[in-house]
Amino acid sequence: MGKSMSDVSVKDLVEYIARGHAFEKHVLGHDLTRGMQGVNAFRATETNEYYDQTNDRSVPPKTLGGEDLFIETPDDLAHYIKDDFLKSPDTYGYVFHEKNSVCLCNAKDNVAMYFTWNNEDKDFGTIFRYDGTTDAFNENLRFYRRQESALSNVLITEFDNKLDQNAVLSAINAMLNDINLNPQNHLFDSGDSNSTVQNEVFGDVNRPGRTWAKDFAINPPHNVKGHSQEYAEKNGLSVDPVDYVCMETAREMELNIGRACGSLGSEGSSGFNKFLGKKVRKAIRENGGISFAPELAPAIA
Amino acid sequence: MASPTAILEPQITLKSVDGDDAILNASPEWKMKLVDFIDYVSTTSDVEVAPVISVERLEDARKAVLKSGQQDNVLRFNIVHIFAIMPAFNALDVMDYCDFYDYPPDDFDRLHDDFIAIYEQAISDEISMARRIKTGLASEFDG
Repeated sequence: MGKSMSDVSVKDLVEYIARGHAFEKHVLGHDLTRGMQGVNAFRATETNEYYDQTNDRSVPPKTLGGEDLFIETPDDLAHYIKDDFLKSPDTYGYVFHEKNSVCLCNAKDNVAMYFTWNNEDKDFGTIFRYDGTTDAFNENLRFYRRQESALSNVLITEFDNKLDQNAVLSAINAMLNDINLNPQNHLFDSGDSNSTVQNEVFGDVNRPGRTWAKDFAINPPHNVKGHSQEYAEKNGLSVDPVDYVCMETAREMELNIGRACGSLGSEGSSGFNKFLGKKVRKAIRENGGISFAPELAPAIA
Repeated sequence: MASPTAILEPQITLKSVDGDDAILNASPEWKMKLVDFIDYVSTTSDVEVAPVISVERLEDARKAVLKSGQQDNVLRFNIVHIFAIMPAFNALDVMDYCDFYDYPPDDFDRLHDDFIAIYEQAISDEISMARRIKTGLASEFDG
């Protein structure tokens, strides 16, 4: 059973994002951006050095900016979003009205986060850190301010936790209220009145943030529950040591099961696997392959 | 360092400013490359890009390019079209040359740099986005 029409909450959004594609891409490092492959963006201080075969050169590492956030597990990521990022006085952003998305940036951590109700993965958005994330975010803000001024039209509404400590949460709640009060205005398929956020996203309660009907992985890492030891200790969380989670083990299990069942990049799978499969095949053919080097991921617990 | 196939000469440049319009020099070939880029970025499902892209404004820009005709080398672009296209270049800037699978990276690099120059000249506003094609001495210090 999916959730009822009025159940979408900030907690839900965060849970879906923390267990959605953002976890795989930016924590586990399943990123198509070459320098970020195998990199935990929230822990690493720099991108990977890699070989650019097209240009026959080695691309040196770039500094990522921001401190080590110690995020290793989906629960670490969810905790960081809820208890740090959204409440931080260093977080600011804007509502982009055309897309009804809430775009946020924490300049201190060099982390950006987009809450969007309508994206292909149906996981409510993303959180990420690249080199220059804050600069790029601020540059976009400037583009929109100047565009508004040229158009004499409201494109964005800005807010800043420094000016109002609840500003970010208020913006997200406004988006949620609209989704809950006017579900007919938020359809994944404009021709299908049943394709509401509630129906489409919460319809699959087995895998938050996922709609992989044909995914055979039994224990994928984004469904792992619990905190890593280092994150829990650094953030003063009360966690029994026996409950610490080791993502390396979980990841290894997922990969083994995936291989056994042929789920990774298989033609019949949907969502990210299908997308990755196409990309990976093309990359292998043209660029010498994609390396999600697991040894580059920081060991935990 | 520019890629071995980098297009070193600017392909779309600012000719003049006429009120709210920027008059650009652009060959029919590069007008179509611009349309291809707009199509690419308007339909991307990349959630680090899509939430900050104005599809409506990009569609207006696309129409302006197509309307300009494929026979001459002039493109009249309203200033809001330039504003609409810049976030797309900015959002995709995180990708290195070899990360592009679905769009020609040489075309992206060239359009990216050309539109930074057009923006800075037409708006008289310097922006922090770095050029992607580095030539001459600058390439010696890349990275």
